[in-house]
Amino acid sequence: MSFFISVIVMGFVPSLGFSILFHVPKRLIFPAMAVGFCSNAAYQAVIHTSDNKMMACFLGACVVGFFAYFMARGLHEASTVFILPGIMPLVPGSYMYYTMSFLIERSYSQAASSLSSTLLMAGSVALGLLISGSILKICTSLKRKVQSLYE
Amino acid sequence: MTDTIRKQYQKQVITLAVQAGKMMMTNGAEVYRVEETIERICLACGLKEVEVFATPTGIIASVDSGEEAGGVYTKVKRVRNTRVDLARVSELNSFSRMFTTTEYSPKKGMDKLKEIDSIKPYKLWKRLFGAGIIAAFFCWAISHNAVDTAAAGAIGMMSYLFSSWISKYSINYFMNGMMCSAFATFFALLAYSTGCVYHYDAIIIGSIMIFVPGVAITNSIRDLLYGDMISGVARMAEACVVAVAQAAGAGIILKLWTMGGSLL
Repeated sequence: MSFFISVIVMGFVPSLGFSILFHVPKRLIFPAMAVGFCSNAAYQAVIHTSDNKMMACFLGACVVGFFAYFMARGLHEASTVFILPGIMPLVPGSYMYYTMSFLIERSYSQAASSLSSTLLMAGSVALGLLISGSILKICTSLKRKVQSLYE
Repeated sequence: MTDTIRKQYQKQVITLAVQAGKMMMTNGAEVYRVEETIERICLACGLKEVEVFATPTGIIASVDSGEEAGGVYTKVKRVRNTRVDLARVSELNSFSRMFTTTEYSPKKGMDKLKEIDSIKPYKLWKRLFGAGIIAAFFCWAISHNAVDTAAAGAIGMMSYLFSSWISKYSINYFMNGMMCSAFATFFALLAYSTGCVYHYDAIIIGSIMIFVPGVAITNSIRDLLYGDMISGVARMAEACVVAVAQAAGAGIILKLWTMGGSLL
């Protein structure tokens, strides 16, 4: 039960906060929050089942990419408006902090492992966006091809 | 059209297009969108050849009217002080769509751009609320402690206030990130030393999350995806520098704190 509550609250709240900081227009705040919610649901589901943070970041970013694209299509907006607030909660800020704190404690091996997970998580967020973006690009060009065949 | 009028028109169009592109770039749009907007505006005004090269630090656009007598105009615009304002990006996006689909004179377009430029961000108390809930919830995700969460919210608000105060003095972004995270770390340690909170690291992480360079990471990836290699690499470098600055700010204060503690 607490898992579901945390999914619901943790999904909406950070993306609301970032929407305010990035000045998402008022009428688009709720869609932006919905994108954040979906990405967080994917993230939490992976964490809950396999405890693999990189996979969780990757899937979360994929969900952000797809949802933002469809929201942007539906509402005639730039997809950046939905992507930025959605992606911010996935950025591995805590690992960045732990890397630094291990470094000043001079426990270099722990710092190295923490740094590598920071980079891997940031990389998987990036990869998630990249792959969802590429798939959507391929799909739109395929759709255009099919349409031109019928005309 | 006489020669001078045509030249004037060409100049107005390229000025408008590059200004629109610059505004998109400073408010957090991706490079391909900026280039596309400039191209579309110029083509909609009847200029035949448009080439744009945009990077996060500057835009170069060159237009050719395609007529034998017409000259080639080039405009270079330096871009500084990027900050994210998605309301402006959204307005500029709909402006470029309107401009290309309906009849719109360059002069009227310039007025519209000025109007968009005067859009203010949300009021300070709303932004403080946003910063507070971000800090509080990232703290909650790590420590699961109500007192820590409340402290993180308060410290997040304070450090956001501090960052909006120091950004008035146009300090470079390395120092800005470093000072903000140092400020947050100092107050988190202060709260920890009073004994009411249990995890100062969770509070620091919560406050740092407000300033994390997520926008730079995201946009750099999208730039790389669209083949804008220079922009992608430049933004990636920016993200790394900001992350290092934040870590350094927090690290310096943590180290100084422990050193001060051992002196006492």
